[in-house]
Amino acid sequence: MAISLKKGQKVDLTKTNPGLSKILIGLGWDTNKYDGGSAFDLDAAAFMLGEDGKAKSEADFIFYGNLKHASESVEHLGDNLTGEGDGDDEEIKIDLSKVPADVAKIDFTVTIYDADTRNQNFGQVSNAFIRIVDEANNTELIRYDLGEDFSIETAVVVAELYRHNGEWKFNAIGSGFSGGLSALCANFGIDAE
Amino acid sequence: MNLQRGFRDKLEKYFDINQDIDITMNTFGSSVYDYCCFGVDSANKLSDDRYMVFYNQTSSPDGEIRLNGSSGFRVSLRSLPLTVNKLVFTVSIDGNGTMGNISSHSLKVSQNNNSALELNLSGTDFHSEKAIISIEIYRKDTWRIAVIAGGFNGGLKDLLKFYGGTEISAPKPAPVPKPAPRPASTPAPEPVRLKKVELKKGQKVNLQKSGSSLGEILINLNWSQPSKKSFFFLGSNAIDLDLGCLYEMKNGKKGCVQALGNAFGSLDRFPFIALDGDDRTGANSAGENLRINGKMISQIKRILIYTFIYEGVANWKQADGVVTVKCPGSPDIIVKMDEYGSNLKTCAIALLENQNDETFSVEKVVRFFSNQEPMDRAFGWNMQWSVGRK
Repeated sequence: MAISLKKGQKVDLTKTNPGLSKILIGLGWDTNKYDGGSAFDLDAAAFMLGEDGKAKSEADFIFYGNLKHASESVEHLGDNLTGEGDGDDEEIKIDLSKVPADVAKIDFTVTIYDADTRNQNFGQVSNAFIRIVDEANNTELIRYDLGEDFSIETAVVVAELYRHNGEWKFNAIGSGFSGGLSALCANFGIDAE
Repeated sequence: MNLQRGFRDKLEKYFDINQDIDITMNTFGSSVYDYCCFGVDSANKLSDDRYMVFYNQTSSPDGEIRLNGSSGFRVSLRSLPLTVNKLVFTVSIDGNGTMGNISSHSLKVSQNNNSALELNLSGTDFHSEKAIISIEIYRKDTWRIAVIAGGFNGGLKDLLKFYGGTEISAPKPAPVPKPAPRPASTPAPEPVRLKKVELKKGQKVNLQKSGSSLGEILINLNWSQPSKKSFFFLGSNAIDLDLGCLYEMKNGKKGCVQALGNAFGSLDRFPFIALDGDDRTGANSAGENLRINGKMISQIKRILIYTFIYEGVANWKQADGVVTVKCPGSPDIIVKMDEYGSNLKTCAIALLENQNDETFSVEKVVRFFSNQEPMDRAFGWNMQWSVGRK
């Protein structure tokens, strides 16, 4: 039985699941129920950050343009252009045992591709969620449903995995930002255009 | 504050949610725009038809949602039963056109005439939708607003389906509220409410000039159809209401412009008055239009605007006609056919008279006659009349 989180809640991940190493981060959302308008293309990404909250280099930014980290600890399983259907829309595989020691946290984000020209934002996205699955037995460990409270933001920091006293914890952040993926990159110390 | 699609926020940040809140929509374009407020349950379904408020059912059971005029809703959120979880404010197009064709759509949320939230959209914000959800006001901890500005190409039918309403094609009578006469129909393109002058009978005003010369004067006739009583059924007793005018030039030439007899006139040549098209059903949102070339005012002495029922019984009450006189630089002048008692088929609406070759005065007449000939006599035109057919 997965733990269901509310915004702002923090829970132990590895402490309560000893030996956990390979996990799958699943992110999902529903968009436009209406006719007309541009299709939504939402993108999940992972930022591997140091203690200072910044990425060392752009290689630590795992997204549709850089699917796999050199350490093989974080791998994006590919871009989903439509977000159709139930279940995960995009997935990121993590091997906690391979995460470099200088990575203190991994932030998971969802952004709307080309949001400005398509005139889209998270106020039009519903049923967004993130879940953590134990790859070994395909069991859902943690689930965080974001609810429907976003407005005109174009980027959301969904959640964060972070090291705490040698264990990994999970933080349900659920904060929206304007400016899309490039604003997030700037926030995490990555030059992007 | 200007809203954009996707905006969501708590209403209590802008309003006292224990007091009435006004939601007013305006859509400009060449179609007929109908406004509706659906009160749906937590499953997003219209489980109680009485909470569908529109021109035919202008109030919910306890007046929690009321329609004032044709597009202004007043809601008392705290009075709504808990079963109503969301209020959905929609625009749907009756007849031709899509939301992509509109020139503008606006929605204002206000309280005590203070408009705190405003949504302004144009046709480029839409595509082929024939019905849209403009905003939703929904319960989530507290009352919140969400700007949707999205909809369905299939129009009201799809919208109803979306909210679990009965389909139009259903053989049994749809659960529509009892028919009531539609409140005053609005002319299209719908003018800004503030800029209207409604004439009382006998009242006379002058059209204003914009710049040095009088521009083109547009006289629009719009009326509602019996079928408008219900979204679901077409009326069998449709009437065909026609717009026409008698003109008298300075040089003594007289005549009429009307669809009957194909006397459509001309804007560039004599008589400098033209009728465009003939709306046989009332479904054409633009109704019927007469145009007068204001530059040629020095040649025109006077014009009598009239309407007549070409087909159907003389049921003026059902027709609910409105004639709007539009002139650049002048507020719209509205003449409502608010005297419904007559069983006569011709109605003289307004008399335009040349004022020093500079402008026309507009006088509301609203007098009924059995046909054009006695009307002609009453206003001293004295032309020869014969029976015609379209």
